[in-house]
Amino acid sequence: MIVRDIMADFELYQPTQLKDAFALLDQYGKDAWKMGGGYDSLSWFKERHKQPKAVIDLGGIAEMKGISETADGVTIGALTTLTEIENDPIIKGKYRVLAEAAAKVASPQIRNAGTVGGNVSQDARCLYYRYGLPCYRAGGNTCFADTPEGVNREHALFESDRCVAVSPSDTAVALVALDAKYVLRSSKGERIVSAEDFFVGPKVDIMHLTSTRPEEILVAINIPKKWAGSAFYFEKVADRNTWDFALVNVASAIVVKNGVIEDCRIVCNGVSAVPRRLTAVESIVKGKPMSEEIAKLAGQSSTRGARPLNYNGFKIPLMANLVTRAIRDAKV
Amino acid sequence: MHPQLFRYAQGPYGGHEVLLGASFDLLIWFVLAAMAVIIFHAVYKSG
Amino acid sequence: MSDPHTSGKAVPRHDLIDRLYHWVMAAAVFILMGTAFLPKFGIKFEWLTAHWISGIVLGVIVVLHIFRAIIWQNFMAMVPDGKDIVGAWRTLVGAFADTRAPAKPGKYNVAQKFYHLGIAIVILTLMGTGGAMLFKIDTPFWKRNPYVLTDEQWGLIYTVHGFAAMGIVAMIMIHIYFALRPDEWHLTRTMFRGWMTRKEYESHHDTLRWVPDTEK
Repeated sequence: MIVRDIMADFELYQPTQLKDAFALLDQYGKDAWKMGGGYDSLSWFKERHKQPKAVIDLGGIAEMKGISETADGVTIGALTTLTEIENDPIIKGKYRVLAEAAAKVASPQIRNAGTVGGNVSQDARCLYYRYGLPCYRAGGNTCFADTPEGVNREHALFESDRCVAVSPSDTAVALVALDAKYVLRSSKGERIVSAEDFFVGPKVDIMHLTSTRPEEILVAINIPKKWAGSAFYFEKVADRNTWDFALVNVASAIVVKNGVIEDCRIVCNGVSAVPRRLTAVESIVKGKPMSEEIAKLAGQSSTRGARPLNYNGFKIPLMANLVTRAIRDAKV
Repeated sequence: MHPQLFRYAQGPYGGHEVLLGASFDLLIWFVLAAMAVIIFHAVYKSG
Repeated sequence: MSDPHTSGKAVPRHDLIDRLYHWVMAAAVFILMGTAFLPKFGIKFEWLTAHWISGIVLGVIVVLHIFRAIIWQNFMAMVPDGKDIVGAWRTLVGAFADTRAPAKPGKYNVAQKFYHLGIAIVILTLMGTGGAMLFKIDTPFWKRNPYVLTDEQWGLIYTVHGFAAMGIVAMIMIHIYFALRPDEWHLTRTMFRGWMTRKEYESHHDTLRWVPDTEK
């Protein structure tokens, strides 16, 4: 019998420098658990579905915190809290879509401690997976959500492969829209991956939502200045207005010149295991006037290829409407 | 550390464990067994 | 230089269709092994589609091979017989005491016959369990239906598939080792060009137990 609400024993480490954290990751390997704000981690531990030998609390590493403007754009430490992002003048002034997305995460209390690194790295919220069932994502041989009786109204419309869980992150869509780069570092070196490549679907890795390797830590997120000051839009639709995960959310970054869409990036989450960049929609609207008709056409096009499950068909018109608004209502 | 032979998980209805599959920790043992055969044969043939 | 085929120096061993079968099978097995195990070593890619398509290719050619072996080929050439067992015993014991040389083999030696038997069992096991697993995925040709078996039965299927998959890694390693050995190279070469020299044939094989098709 599983004892819930009481965490299993683990070694807690609280390094204050990255090199110490890397040494711990190298020492414990797959038995180590990296923790940011702890909001995803602690629920796993309390339910005892994840029982790492060592928890490495990254919260004391100062170099992973803060927002600074660089020649190329802006660098956000992975441990920067969502509240800091929400209120930061640089982010609010130039990359407003990220501030708006951060402001919609969970609740004020969670945003005060929850980090951007944790928000983009958090695990899937499929209730079967979170309940500890031996599904594909947990290393098992089946998906309990994609069954005739499965409760799957929160699950994927696109790109599911055996597992139908979705990425739950709000900031992820904004960061993909801003073409952010994720800085992943380990004791062996550093690699920088685009926001799109940071996330992986079940076709590539059915047990993880990101491409972060066990020995790596997401240390920072760089946002290029290309999209600074563009027209932005973010909207999240959830079952309640606060402290809930998105059913569908959308973010757009649009460069408009003389009423014509010169360039854009439009991204939806809650519809697939990775934030879904709508490249086909972007191709349709580029070079077109920013109008109601084009926005509607974009919305209708955005759901092409969707494969609804038994209970998530409502996401198709929801996504279409959100994409329409993400173009029509984008503002500088 | 003893390698696990099988992968198990808590069953969906609780109270019992279900078999998920073979433990792939064993792959190294299959590889080592093959290498042992190869080395034994190579040594025997060269002797 | 005279053409070994016309001069009678070439002894045909593997028809083109059999060599093609072998190399297509080898490619399929390597793709299956790579797609199965590379992700487990941290090399992530979209492995499943390549895995099930290779599995079906392997299944089809194995079935064709079985039909061809039963209907058009000498099926018994690959089945261990009494002479093989005695020969194997002499080889084994001869390493320590018995000085009598083992009898020369027919077309295939006893090690090849037992290896073939072993890998046939492993591949048929992988095909059977892998074929069942096709019920668990959506493809352009069918929709998944994971309810054909219970959780426990699926667990058993995955377990057998996993052990057989690890087993085939070991067996392929051994196969490649023997194929690369200089004293086996005359056999490996026949899998490329289809024939061996008459000298190789006469020195390595019992010409009564293996009469090439062209000389029957």
